[in-house]
Amino acid sequence: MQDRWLKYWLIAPALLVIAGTLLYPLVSGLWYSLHEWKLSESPTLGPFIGIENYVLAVTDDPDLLNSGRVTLIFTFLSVVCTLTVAMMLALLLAGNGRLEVNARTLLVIPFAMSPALVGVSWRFLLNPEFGGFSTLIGALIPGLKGTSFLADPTLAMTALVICDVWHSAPYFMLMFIGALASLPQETVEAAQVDGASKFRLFFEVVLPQLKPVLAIAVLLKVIFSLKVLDQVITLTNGGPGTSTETLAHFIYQTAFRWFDVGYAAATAYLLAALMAVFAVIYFQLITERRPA
Amino acid sequence: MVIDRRQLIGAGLGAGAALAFPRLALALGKPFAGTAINVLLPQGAQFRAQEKRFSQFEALTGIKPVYNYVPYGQLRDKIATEGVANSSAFDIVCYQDSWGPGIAVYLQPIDDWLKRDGISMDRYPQAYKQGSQIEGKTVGLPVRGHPQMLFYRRDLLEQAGVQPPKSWDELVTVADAVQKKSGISGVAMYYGKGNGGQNLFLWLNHLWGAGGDIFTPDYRTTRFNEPAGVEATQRYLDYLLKHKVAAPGSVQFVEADAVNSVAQGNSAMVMVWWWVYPQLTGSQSTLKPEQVAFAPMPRYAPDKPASYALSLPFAVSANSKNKDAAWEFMKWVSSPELEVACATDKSDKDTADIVVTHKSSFVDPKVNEVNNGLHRVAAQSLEGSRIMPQLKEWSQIAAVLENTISELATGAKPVKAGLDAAAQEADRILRRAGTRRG
Repeated sequence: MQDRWLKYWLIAPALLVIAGTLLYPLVSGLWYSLHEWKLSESPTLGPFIGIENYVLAVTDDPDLLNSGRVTLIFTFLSVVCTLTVAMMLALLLAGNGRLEVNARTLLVIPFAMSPALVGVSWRFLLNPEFGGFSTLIGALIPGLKGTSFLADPTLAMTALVICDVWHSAPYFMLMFIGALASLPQETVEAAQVDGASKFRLFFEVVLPQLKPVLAIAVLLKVIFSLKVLDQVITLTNGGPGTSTETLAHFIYQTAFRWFDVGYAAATAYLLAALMAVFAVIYFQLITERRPA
Repeated sequence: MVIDRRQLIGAGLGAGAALAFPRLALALGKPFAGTAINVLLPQGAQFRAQEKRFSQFEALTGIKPVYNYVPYGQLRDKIATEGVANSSAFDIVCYQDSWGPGIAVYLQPIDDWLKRDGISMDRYPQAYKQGSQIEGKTVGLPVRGHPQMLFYRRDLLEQAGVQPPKSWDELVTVADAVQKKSGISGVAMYYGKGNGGQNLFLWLNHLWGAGGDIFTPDYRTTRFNEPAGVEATQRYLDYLLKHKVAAPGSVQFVEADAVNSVAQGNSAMVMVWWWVYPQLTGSQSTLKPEQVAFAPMPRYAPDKPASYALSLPFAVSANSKNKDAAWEFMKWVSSPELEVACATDKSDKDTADIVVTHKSSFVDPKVNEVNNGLHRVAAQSLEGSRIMPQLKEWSQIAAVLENTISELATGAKPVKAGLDAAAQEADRILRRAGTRRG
């Protein structure tokens, strides 16, 4: 009897922590989303309004729709670019030479920086008058001298994506380096003996074996990108106009600038639902394709 | 009777403070001695200067004030979260006037105290007085406040043979003349999306000056897309889009970028809050103090003063457990004597600030003498100044307008179309708020 219950007692503290830090906020967030709660009206929860916040979000909020569109564009671009750059860096720096080790150490620094700080730094770097990147780009391409990168919707989104890639690629690079190191060398050596080019070696031998790690990397990066906030606030603040306003930024503004907590909770749940749907479909797809 | 050294020093400080602050109406007999008053506020040299003088207040009342600084960007979040949590951690909060209607439920009205202690809000300029009142109730005392001013490069304007502009039309001609003569941008504007609707600050001057407004007086309908609003917005954007006298980077600049542009010698003029004067003339600037001069804000016409003014009142938190003691501190910290003492003390650059909020301080000879006459000129800028709309939904509508201005400044859309879309969005927000309020 004692043995039977011991395991539950042992995991109880962990379960309590999870319940307190994950389940409670999730359930209370859902509860708030079913109420009208404007902090500018009252510090306490307002009346129960059922799914009205969700109905408003879906039927009467073009800004939310725009934020959803922007988030999807950002997510697609940042996932593709980050993972591509990370894979290229991993292939370049997978060795154990001094250069590779030192380069890896240096490249981890961006990931160690706070995302908010990254955004502020990039904002300064892209300042058309005294920004380092602006000066460099102007020197390399005179036609772009003095360009206001953050004033053009396309360039602002590009800057946001590049900033995100710069910040998060090192993390995935390390992930891929670990995966590359764990690949069975026999397969690579066999392909080399058969005279496979480096290109074919990578795409037909290495990449297929990295699929499980890639799958996790894609899932993680999609989730990171869907909830991107810090860089948006500090780099573009969603502008120009609302061209870089992501869902997380919209939710943050709704809750902490406009004090509409009930509505913010509802939109946060919609974002969570979006992530959950993606995760489920994605896992269905990758598990279906695996050979039995 | 034997008095020890500590008592003697205390009595001396108390007497000195009483002489320095003769009209405070502080409670007699130190009834709140030993109480700590926690104040939530942003960083600022003015506040550090006040902190240096806390010993005077402690000697008078026995109350111990404590300043708790948070970054300005997080101040509103902190006030709201403390309010929602029913926390009494802070007895006094400093807030930006435009946030007032949104956080009014967390603030204590002070009209009864004001009446009891004979403090009149008429001692403040009209815009500051309005900024401290919400729906007819006074909730704060404007301890910090900012008029907008035109800062310009004296050397460059002299070189070009022009005077600082008095009107918006003159701004174009002066900026153009300076630009042609010196090769640097005439004026640094800030049309970019920043924190708190910064690109609306100068737009409001244009809008009000042209006879337009954001809402009808009952706040039920938007008006900014009427012809006067369209004309004013076009004029505001044309410094960059048509006349090309604004620094090209203005399209993405926020306020700080525009100030930096002048401080780094890239632009000749900037119109910002007066508190940046020490920045433009300080050690971080590439300019020498004698190169920087100031003037009142340009107007549509000499008889049409219209500018936006901002204040940061101190308010007693509705959750405070020491409201009476907090009010004692409010009286002291908002006294004209204290602000004059702080604004005239340049002995320590960490606490040297120019900010005053009382009408009397703006014309105080000593204040003006020490600050190169800045305050008399600032008072002219404050003539006819107004504040942002006192509306709970204002933050959300301001965000819509901020987005619109930042988009229009890129030239991507005609002004009328942009303002119409913004008006539609603002009306949706008002309708939704009205619907939900029933």
